[in-house]
Amino acid sequence: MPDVFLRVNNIYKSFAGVKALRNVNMTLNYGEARCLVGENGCGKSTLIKVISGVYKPDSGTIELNGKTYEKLEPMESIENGIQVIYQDFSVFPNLTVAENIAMNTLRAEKAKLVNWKTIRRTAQEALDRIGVKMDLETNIEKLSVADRQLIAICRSLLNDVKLIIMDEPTTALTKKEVNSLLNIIRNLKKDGISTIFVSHKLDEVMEVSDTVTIMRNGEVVADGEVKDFDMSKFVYYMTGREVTTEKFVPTYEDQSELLRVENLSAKGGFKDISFTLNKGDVFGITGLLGSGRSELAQTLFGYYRATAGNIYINGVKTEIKNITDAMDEHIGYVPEDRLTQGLFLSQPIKINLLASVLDVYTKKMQLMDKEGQQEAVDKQVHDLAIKTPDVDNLVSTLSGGNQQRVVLGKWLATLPQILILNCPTVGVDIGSKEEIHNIIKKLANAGMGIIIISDDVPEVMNTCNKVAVMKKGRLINTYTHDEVTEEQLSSELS
Amino acid sequence: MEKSKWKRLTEKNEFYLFFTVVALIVIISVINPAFATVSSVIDILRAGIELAIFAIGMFMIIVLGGIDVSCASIGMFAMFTTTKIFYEAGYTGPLFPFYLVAALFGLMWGLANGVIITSLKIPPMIATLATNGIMTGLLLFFIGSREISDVPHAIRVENKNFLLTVTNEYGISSSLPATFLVLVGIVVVVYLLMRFTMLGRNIYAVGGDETSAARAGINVKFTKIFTYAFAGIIFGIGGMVHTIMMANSNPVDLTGNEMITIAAVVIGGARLTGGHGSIFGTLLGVFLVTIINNSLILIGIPSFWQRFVTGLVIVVGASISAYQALRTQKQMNIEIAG
Repeated sequence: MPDVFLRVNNIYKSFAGVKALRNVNMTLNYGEARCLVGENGCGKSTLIKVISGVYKPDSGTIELNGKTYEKLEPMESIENGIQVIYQDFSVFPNLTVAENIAMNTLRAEKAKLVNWKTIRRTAQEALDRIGVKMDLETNIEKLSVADRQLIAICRSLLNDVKLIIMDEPTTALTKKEVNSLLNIIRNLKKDGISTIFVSHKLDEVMEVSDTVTIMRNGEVVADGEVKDFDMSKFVYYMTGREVTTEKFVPTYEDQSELLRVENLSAKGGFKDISFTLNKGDVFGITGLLGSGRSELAQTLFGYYRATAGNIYINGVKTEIKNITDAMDEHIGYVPEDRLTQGLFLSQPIKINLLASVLDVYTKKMQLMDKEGQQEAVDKQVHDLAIKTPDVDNLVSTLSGGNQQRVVLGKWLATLPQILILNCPTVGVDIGSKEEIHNIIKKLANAGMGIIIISDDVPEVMNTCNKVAVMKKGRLINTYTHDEVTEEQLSSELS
Repeated sequence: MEKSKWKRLTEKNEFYLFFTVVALIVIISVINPAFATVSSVIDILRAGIELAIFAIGMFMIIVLGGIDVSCASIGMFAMFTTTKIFYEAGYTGPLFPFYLVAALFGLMWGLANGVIITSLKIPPMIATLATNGIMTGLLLFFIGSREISDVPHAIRVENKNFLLTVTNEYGISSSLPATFLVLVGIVVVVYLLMRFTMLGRNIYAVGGDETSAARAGINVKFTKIFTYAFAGIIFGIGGMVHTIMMANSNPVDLTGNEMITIAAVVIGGARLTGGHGSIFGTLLGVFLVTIINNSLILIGIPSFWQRFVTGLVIVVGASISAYQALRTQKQMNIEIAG
């Protein structure tokens, strides 16, 4: 058996004149775990789709098991033992757990008929292999994101799988789940199965990979063994510049109380939550998925209703019964899942930026004030440094980091006094992440009160001046940022 | 983790639909005992044959995530053109060739729909609206617009071919026609196809998530064309069944039936967004619509209320599932300490 499983040779690929891949080369041995890193839009996803046969390269070849392909079909890629776990998992929400897991096996066996006993057995074996218990007959649409991810992993564990490609596999997972995923990858390595791991979270990448390929602007800029790289080198190659972070110290003069929450409870969500947010504060609430952190944020924004406790805004007792109430109090909320909750993906950037303030920019008879809108949009695009040639382009054409800025911009347009950000940098690359953090700090220093919900501990440490840990529906500890270390927060979290 | 069979059953739409149908039957029977007789059961079965055949074809397309508003026109085109050909030729042979030719015309238009939708990437609603216009125009202009009452011999014979006949106390007889067996055959074939073949599962997969299906190596284009073509065959046969049961072929007879067909499938629990639905649910939906259309008059509800009630059933049915979805969405599920 040859050592090399996959070799990508001089791949070029462009879309409508934009070069997505330029002379890309990569080699992968049997049992090798390679990570593929780079900022959003650097060509990682395109490269993966070339390897899985979804895209055909403009030129260049792909070698699998010593056989050379110029145009690889998805079925050929699968037959060669390549399985891709996509960022959106690509599961079938309408089918059962069993059928979803067995689907790829059936396809690989070129089955014509379906034997439901075999399906259940195949699925059970795959679940056992990674040590997960799940009801085989449940429809996927009823499952959590983390469970869907586990199913996507199970599905790829075919008998003759040689390479598993994971595109951003950990964005939806909690630390504990990430650890079990990393263990699965280690076990696969022992079985001689190769993995390509695409991730923004560098610490995870470094923990599990042997080798690394770093891409920037469609080109491979670095390639080597993980042990030869450290964090700053990674960041340097990815962004092409040095990124530094400083702790946040509020500088807004009037640090009077903006929001006070007393013993706030919601049935099935959280209990006895109390905290104070001053003007110019960035308050971080860190907790795992299922700690009640999102429920708290959404209650403050009026999506859920609190069942007990009080909210004071500027010292005045206020009831927030629905989202309109929250907006009347100038509360803004940037949701966790920008794709489904925060953006109108198939609408232009401009419309998205104006979506929550359309009623502000009107003239007589409720007609649209085109000039006023354009001015507002131009200002947002400039202030937030949204990178786009034209604000009339669809939001879906932007990279993750830029999309997140549009969501931010949408809420900043409402001139909020309190801004709640739920996991603001999930799926955002390092460069954009830093810029979003800087925007947050700037807003706070202009007097806004900001609440960040995040399980990204370094993020909370870098951007917040106050931090609270949330666990099982309760706020267990509150610190100022110099009272606590990253390690301590991490250990309190889990 | 393993849920009980009962619990799982209560999560299904078909479960509630079944009880709705039973409840309706009980209510009607209490008000008018004449309803609870073998005769009226046979009458309902008979009245539902045609709708059921069309609904099964539509069920496949809706599971795929598509729609076909040309289904009634396909049926019309197939039945009238077939009858006309055999009529003009003075054919006197057996019945089977009628079904075969009608199925081929259905296949032709189904293929056309599938190819237009997948190659030109036109939304199915628009594409089938277009083919609907094209085929009715062609039918009336080139094939003929006058109904054929003097249908070929084999059709007249089949029209009087009954599986069983029951006569009630007033001397009125109800008969189950042999075309019922055509429906049974289609139900069996489609059930096996959708449940036990990869092709059938691929239809569900494409309806569930087209991108995922393509990534899993499913030939999405083929699956779509196949589904429209296969449903086309069923519509063609459905049209022929109509002509046989009427002993008459009229090129405008089925106009407008696509809406009640889609309604029956949706009431049967299939989602217009694709991926969901079962043949059992579809048959229950057909049954419910047929009872409403044929039996409300038995309890003194005037016939013009039938459409109103059908509409009401759709609204109530749709809002129940929408409400369930909203409730699960608005529910918090955090385990609180202490």
